[in-house]
Amino acid sequence: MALITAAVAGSLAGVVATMALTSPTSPTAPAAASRHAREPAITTTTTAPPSAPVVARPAILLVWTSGGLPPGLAAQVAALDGVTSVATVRGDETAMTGSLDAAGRPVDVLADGWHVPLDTLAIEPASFAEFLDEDAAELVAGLGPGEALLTETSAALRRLATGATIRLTTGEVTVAGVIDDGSGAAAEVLVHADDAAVLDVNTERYLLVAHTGDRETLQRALATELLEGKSVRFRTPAETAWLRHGDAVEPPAVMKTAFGEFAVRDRPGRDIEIWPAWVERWIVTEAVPILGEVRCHSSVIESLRAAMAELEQADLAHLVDPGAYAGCYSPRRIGPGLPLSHHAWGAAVDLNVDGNPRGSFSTQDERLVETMLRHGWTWGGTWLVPDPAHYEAPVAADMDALGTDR
Amino acid sequence: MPPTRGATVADRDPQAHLRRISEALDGDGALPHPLDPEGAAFLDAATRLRSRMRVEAAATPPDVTDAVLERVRAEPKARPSPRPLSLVAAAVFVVAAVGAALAVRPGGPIAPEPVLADVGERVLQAQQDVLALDAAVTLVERGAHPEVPVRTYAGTLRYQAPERLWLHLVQDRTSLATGFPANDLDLVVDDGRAWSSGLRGCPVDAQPGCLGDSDARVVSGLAPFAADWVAPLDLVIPVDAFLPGAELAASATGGGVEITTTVARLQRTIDGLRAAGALRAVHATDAVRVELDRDTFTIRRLTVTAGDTAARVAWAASNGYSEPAGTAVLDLTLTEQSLPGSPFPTAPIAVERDAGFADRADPGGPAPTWLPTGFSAHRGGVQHGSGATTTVRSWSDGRAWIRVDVTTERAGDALVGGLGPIVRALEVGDGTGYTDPTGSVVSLHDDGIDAAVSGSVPLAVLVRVAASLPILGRELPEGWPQGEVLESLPEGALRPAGALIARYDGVDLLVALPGPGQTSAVLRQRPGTTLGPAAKADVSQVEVRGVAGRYEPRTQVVTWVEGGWIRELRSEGLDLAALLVIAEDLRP
Repeated sequence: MALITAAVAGSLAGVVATMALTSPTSPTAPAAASRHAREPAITTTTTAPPSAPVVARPAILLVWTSGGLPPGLAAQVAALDGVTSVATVRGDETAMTGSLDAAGRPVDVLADGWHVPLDTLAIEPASFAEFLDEDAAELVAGLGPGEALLTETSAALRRLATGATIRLTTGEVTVAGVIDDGSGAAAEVLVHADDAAVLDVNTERYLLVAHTGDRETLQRALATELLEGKSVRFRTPAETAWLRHGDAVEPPAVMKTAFGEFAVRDRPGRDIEIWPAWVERWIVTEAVPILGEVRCHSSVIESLRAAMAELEQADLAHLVDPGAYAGCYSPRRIGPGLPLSHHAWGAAVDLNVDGNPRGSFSTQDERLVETMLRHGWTWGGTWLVPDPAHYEAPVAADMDALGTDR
Repeated sequence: MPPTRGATVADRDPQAHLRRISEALDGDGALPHPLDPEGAAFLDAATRLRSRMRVEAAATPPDVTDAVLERVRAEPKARPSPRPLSLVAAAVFVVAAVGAALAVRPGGPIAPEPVLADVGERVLQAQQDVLALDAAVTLVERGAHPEVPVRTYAGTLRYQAPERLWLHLVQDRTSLATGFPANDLDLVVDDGRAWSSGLRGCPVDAQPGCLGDSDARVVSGLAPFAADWVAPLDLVIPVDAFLPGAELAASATGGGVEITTTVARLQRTIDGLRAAGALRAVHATDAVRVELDRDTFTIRRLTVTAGDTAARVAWAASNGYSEPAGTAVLDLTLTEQSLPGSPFPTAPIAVERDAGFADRADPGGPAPTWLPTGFSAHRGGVQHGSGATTTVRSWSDGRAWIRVDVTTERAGDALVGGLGPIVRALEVGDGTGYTDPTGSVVSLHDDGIDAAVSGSVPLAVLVRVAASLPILGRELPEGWPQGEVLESLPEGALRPAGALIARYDGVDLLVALPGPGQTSAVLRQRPGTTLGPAAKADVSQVEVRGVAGRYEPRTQVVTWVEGGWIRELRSEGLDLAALLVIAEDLRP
């Protein structure tokens, strides 16, 4: 069985949130990559000469709930006072089985039964474009059925450009252009809403809401009138790294750039099989303090070891129960039919699972959490659906090494 | 001067007006009268500042007036404020706090204390007088779930100094909603063992299904006053809330002292209350009114009221709460009364976690020769772990405690005591000791032996206890990261105007902004252009140094990206306004 998967371009340092400081005397600022298409609105009014009227500029608010939005929410939100426009964004994982460049030459060719999961958003171009800068808006507004837009990170991962073709298990799309990561919400593929049903991108994930009223009033109306009893996350552009659903974790494009991309085969339940060459290259078994041997992506070992060593040195080793360590690398999805768990990259650990089940509030010692955070790990205990045993690794600093032979 | 119509002093000469207020606070002259609103705001801020500086006061008080006025004059015109004196007040705080931080020495207060401004010290003092407390407890909880608008509880609290406490609450069955199990809870700290039983908290939109059955958590082998357990000792006297530097607005009431503050300030007390059962969460910015007994400073009533800021509304929505602003979401009362002499309950059968401490009558190792009057030996023993084995001794006088950890098996090149990456040196007897920016622990290092002195007493007391140990603290050996202080920062990194206290911890550049008690702050910097994912619900957008940043009220952290650097400013005791002004004062 021959499987030829494409290489991952590895020069996308700019999208990575956490960069290692190699020397305090020679900071190396990574190349800038815009996470947001529009500068965040610090104020909702522009300054103007005394005699000129004050011009209101709509502010942007992201609204998302875990597992998808209730039906009809967008129309209800659009009817609220002060709301000037609403864009609904659907999102699901699609399965790429191959790709062709603009000349029709194969780029990604996968063996039967294998696919590369792609984080895909379905948008209504006109409404989504209203939330973008002029250049991106023009590209997005021109997106037609049967077409796709790639973000810059995705285009590099895919080694594709305008005119290329992506073959999915549910259909085929032609790349109509490449937009910056921020405008494309770091998705790997953006498709037209008319194709959503065919491509099986059906879950309404989030709303972008432009409004001229005050934020408190809008949020309160949403929370108490339209979404009462449902946990909902509100964000402005400056409050989050990526203006999209699930903003507490790095999106798949960033994960792939940081830790490499692999093809998968689904197994029963939530388990998957990951292409063995990727596993062989990146997954290692090493000993770290307190936990003993762990099996993780090679690039996360150092920070995990440092965090555990710090706990040990501070006489806090007992805050981590080695018997309640539930692993690092684990080829699986979050749940059946759900996106890949970051454990699939070997970039997450579950600590003290006894007493900290997913969906419950934390019983973790705050000093453990603080230590992990200080070493760049993020923590699931404050997620919309809390996962207090779960910690996600900082994205790799040296991505050039990850690029070309997964 | 009697009130006059027309122009006030402030109208005629605003700078002289502020100078007179400042002089009055220094005990030199009376407050100008009338005080216009801006003057009143200035007075309020200056009073807050001075109460913060009380415990570690400067021997030579910094004259902040000129600096403040200079700051006001230099305030960029491009950033007008609708309330210019709020900037003045903030500037007062920063200039003086930083100035004091760099010049602190043991000494007396720098200014006459406003009424009840010394409540923090009195709380610290009172902890030595409270040996036991029995109280009837009532709790009213509002807005925990759309189907549970109000839950009421009744129970008892029993406290025996220094570290035995039992909180027992039973939900009033008339407040039980259909499908919801009773949210009864017990929380017990019994010296080296602690346990809780009750429902496990979970997101509102998954309730009641996620609540399940009541279960228990048990931890044994707890060292004296260990932080391994959210010990609700602050439910008795909220000592942690009133550490030196605490910002307080206190007033006298009939038989009590009423303090108005925020959840952030009383986080430990409220965490203690919420450590068992499935009580609702509250936001760090929610207002708290706490009434303390005037004599014992034990809590008599604590009321948390829902706020209405954008961040609070967003947080509430994230958590499924929808109460209107102003709702008293938690209302706790403790009424002292004699309880029957029932013993503390035994721990339920449950999976037990061992924190690794074994009590011993004589743990061995060096002991201090000086302790404050009234302190007597409490528990001692040996802490085992995968790191060093440590002998632990503790002493107590009521609620107050002091603990000394000594080890001859230090792991790694770092001071013991969990000081963190930034430390500052202190004179400890004839030697050198080190403390963290908040002054909560004193660490000594000598050849082959290390010690840490911690407790619920002021730093000066910890230093004196440490000085009486038969250990002569040495300066940090060369090569220890905590001793590798940077003399300069790379281009683009920010620093405060005063002395530079900075180091590189392998990930970040750390710059200390020391201040009394909890008013210290730490600036972390690393090259980068984007902030990472925001995992917390209550992140809000703020303007920092002219760019958009984030603020997390619970951890009191401001983060922003500026000039190719990711920066984080954090303080346990400073609020957002103070952090923003400190950030504004940073310079390359």
